[in-house]
Amino acid sequence: MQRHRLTPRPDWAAKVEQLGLVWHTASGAPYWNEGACYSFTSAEIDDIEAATRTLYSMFLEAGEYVVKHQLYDRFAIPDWCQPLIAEAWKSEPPALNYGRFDLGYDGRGPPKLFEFNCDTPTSLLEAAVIQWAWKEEVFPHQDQFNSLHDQLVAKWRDIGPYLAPHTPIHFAHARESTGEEAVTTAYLMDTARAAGIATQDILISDIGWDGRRFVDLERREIRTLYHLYPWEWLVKEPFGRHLIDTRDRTLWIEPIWKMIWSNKAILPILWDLFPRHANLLWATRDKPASDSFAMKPILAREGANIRLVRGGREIAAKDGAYASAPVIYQGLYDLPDFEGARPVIGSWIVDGEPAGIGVREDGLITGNLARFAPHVMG
Amino acid sequence: MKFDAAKLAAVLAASAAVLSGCGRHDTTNQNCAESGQRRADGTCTDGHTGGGHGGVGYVGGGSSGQTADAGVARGGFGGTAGDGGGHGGGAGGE
Repeated sequence: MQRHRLTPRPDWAAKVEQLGLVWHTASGAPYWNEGACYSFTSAEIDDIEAATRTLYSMFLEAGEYVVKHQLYDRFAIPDWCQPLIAEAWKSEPPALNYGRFDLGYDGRGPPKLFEFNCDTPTSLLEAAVIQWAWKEEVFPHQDQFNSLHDQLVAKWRDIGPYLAPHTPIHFAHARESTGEEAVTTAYLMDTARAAGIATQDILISDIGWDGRRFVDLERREIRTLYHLYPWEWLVKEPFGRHLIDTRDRTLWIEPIWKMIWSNKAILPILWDLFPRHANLLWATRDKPASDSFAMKPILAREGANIRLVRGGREIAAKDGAYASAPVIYQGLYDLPDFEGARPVIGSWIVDGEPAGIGVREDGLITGNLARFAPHVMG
Repeated sequence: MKFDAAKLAAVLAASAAVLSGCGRHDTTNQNCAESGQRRADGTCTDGHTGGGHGGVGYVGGGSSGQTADAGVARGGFGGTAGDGGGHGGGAGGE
């Protein structure tokens, strides 16, 4: 694993915008960073791919364990959601079942899991499309670990026959100003259309309730709903309870059981089930005996409210809106340091199949101003 | 890698279509009818998101707060979202 400095294409911003990446710059600095790229050997990609596959299997077991032993309280999941989760876990409704494992990796030791972003993962367009187009132009004779687009289309094609007929899938996201969530959602719509599925976009706040059904702005019933909007928010909002009323009418993609996998409370359970596994960092719910750890809220996003402590001394911390949330403690991992850029590997998976990687670089904590750097392999 | 040129072209076409309706930052207020209609998050008070929107319209035109139109209540989802101001999950992504 190496980091290479490059000269960005002179018209890089226009080129990535043309592909939909309109949020390429944040706070005056490039978010899309083609001033550098990472290269991986085939053996290193094999390591990441194998770890991703293994971690997925472990999450399956951990999910089964949580449902069987009804450990929902550890996840701060409301009581009324629990039967819905158990039911969805057992019945396995159609889903993309995609996500991004965030891994620590330095090319020497085994990849180590930080978390699994599998409810509303972003950096999808960057990983699936933008970095591939960059590689085709800049390094056309090299390869890239990236079959994400194809796997998403294939998965839509797989589940299409099981979705409500004669009605589109609605794709919902929240309003925000950068365009990131709108375009990420639009990209997923495109993958569904490529599989022959009709689609309809809608803002999450425009979803209507007519007393017995969720409806769109045309008052059509929403039968299948993809949502780039977290489950833990949905269930606490005014329409949340209607999930019970519509459990047999509206299919949610991703399913509500993702509240288990996407929650960092799963990490101590994984460590209990697979102690000292090579792809895990130790994790515990209680303050550890060790004086070196990462403290993470179970539901925080973008690195918010994470504290890193080494030898009893805080070495990094981020503010955020999750200060009062339950926390877990996780072993520290020394991210490789490339002239101050510390990369985290986002390893994508679609229904159990590793699908490629994206690399984001930041400091000790990967937050919302991390930069995405493309990669090549071989 | 199974992502071939034809598939890439299809994605590019779709992304370009989306781009016509979404996302560019507008620092000039030209897409709000009045500069005073601009909110801190870049949207306009008439419901349009600033910056080139109005084409495909994936972002603009939403409701805020709970409203009802002839027996249909809206706004019962989406109230938690805040604009993160960065990337990688501003409003709801992770």
